[in-house]
Amino acid sequence: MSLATARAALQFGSRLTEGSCGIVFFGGEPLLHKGLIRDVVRSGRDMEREGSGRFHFKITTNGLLLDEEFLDFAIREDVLVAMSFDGVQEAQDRHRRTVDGGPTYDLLLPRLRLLLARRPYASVLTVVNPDTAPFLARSLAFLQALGCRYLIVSLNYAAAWTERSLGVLKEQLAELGKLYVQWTQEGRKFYLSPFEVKISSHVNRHCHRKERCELAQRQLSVDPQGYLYPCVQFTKAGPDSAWCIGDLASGIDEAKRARIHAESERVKTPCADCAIVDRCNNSCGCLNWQTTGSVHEVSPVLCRYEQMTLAVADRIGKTLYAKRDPLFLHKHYNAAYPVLSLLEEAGDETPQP
Amino acid sequence: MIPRPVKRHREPVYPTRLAVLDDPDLLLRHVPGSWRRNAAVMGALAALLATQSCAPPSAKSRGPTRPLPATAVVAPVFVHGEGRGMTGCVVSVPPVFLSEEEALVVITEELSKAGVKMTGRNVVLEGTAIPRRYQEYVGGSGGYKTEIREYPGKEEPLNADLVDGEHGVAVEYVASYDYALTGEPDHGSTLRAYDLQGAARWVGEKVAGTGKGMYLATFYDPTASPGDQESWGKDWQKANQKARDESKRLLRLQVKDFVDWLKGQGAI
Repeated sequence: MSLATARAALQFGSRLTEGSCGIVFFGGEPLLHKGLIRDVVRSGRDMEREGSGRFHFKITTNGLLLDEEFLDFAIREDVLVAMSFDGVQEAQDRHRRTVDGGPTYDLLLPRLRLLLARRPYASVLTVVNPDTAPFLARSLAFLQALGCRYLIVSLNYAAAWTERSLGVLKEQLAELGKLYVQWTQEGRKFYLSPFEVKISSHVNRHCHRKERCELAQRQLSVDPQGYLYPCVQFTKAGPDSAWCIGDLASGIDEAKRARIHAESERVKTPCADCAIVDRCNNSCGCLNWQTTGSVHEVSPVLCRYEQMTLAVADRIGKTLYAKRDPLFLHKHYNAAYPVLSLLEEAGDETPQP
Repeated sequence: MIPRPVKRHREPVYPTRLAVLDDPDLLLRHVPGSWRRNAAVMGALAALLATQSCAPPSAKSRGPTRPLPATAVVAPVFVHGEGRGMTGCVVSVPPVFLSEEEALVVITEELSKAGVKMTGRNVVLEGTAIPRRYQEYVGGSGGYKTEIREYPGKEEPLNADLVDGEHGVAVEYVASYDYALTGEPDHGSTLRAYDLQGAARWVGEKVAGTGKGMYLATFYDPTASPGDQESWGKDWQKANQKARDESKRLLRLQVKDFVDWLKGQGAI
């Protein structure tokens, strides 16, 4: 993407919201273009100073090109950096290989430590495949012990999951649920995505549906030529694509956008009578399309994973609520928890007389 | 592999945020230890919770949101106060116990605020069985140790102190005076050790899953300490009253937690 296109995207984004517009750098590996990222962020900050927009920036990197210099820049310009890391060596080296096929655990672990040292709240993204599922609980315990607080777990839904590997995954999620309870009772602060989202879907059921993924509504993706798409998975082929909903120069084709949104909102056939439909992530049209080829057909793997995580999350909620665990109560029922937690940690960092 | 919709799903037994807002004190009663030690956090917590708790506490119960369970469901023992003490022989600081009436007034008042009316007194819970226990010294290669055992065939149904038939809620209060009936092991010493909290837990374990469908709480006398003899000075009465007040406060917290639990169960 050229800097001119990126700047046009910033201007376009600033017109879409009166609040802060989130800019996420996607790849491939975004840090292959550190120079462009620096220029784009600086352009955004210049626009803010001129009063023509507000932005927050995020990057997810595989960590290979992450260094002190870039982290200095990210901290100075308030750019959130998340890193992909799959956990213990057996999991990390299974799929995350260098271009020449080499392992990455030993290469990337120091980068992860560096990131956490500079940005203790950085998110760490773990992708689970059928052959890394047996390491899931151990991997997340490893990452937690390393100091990772924001643990985002994603399944590779497109992988060749079988009943057997899903069975292993179920056991690992149950194990992870026990760790969740243990860590909470020990007073550790953390965010473990699969369970937090599901607990929230019950605790905040009055407003949970507002937070769900809505294709073509909340986010847009821009390709290097400046064409617009409803989500990152669709970003290819330009105007020849059925998913292209406009371009930076002429804006959004609202009729097409509405059509795609309506299509993704159609009731998913097998889900109509499902008892947990309101707590399920079946509304993610991008994920559905990626796995089934249709935005309103749900992946069977997603269906199974949702059921597994929901069961464990409700067990966690039951156990910790019955014990009136203070951390659990405040994390899930106190809207001011993030502020109070930050206040506490700011106090911890104050040098004691 | 095909998607398989879930036909039936049991409602979670932890409450929603809106239900918790009905009890604005819950989050103040349960604060992480590290926050308690931080004045700035505690100050901010009180101020921020005040802004969240705009919903007035509900004086009336909204009624059960699900049918009664098939057998007794017992709440965990909510630990507020040690519930332990000793009397007799060389004990220099005797515990201060609440009278039955004092305790039951506290429980009834607090449950009433949540719309649970404990109109039944001393109700036998059919189908439950509380055995008598005894203490035995057992010798072995490692020396003697104490074991608590149950007398075979010496079981009686639980006589619940308070019952709300409408909501299917029963309360057993483990007090010093009926400790022998609610878990105290027989022993042969003038020294009497009370573990009222342990007895409350044991009674709950015996009742869980038995009898008719109901929600049972087992509360216990918190037995707040009057302090040591030096701190009493000459005013034992004052120290005694202070301990009784503290015990009532702790018992009230047990009941408040039970109310939260009942909400989580969909019982009220």
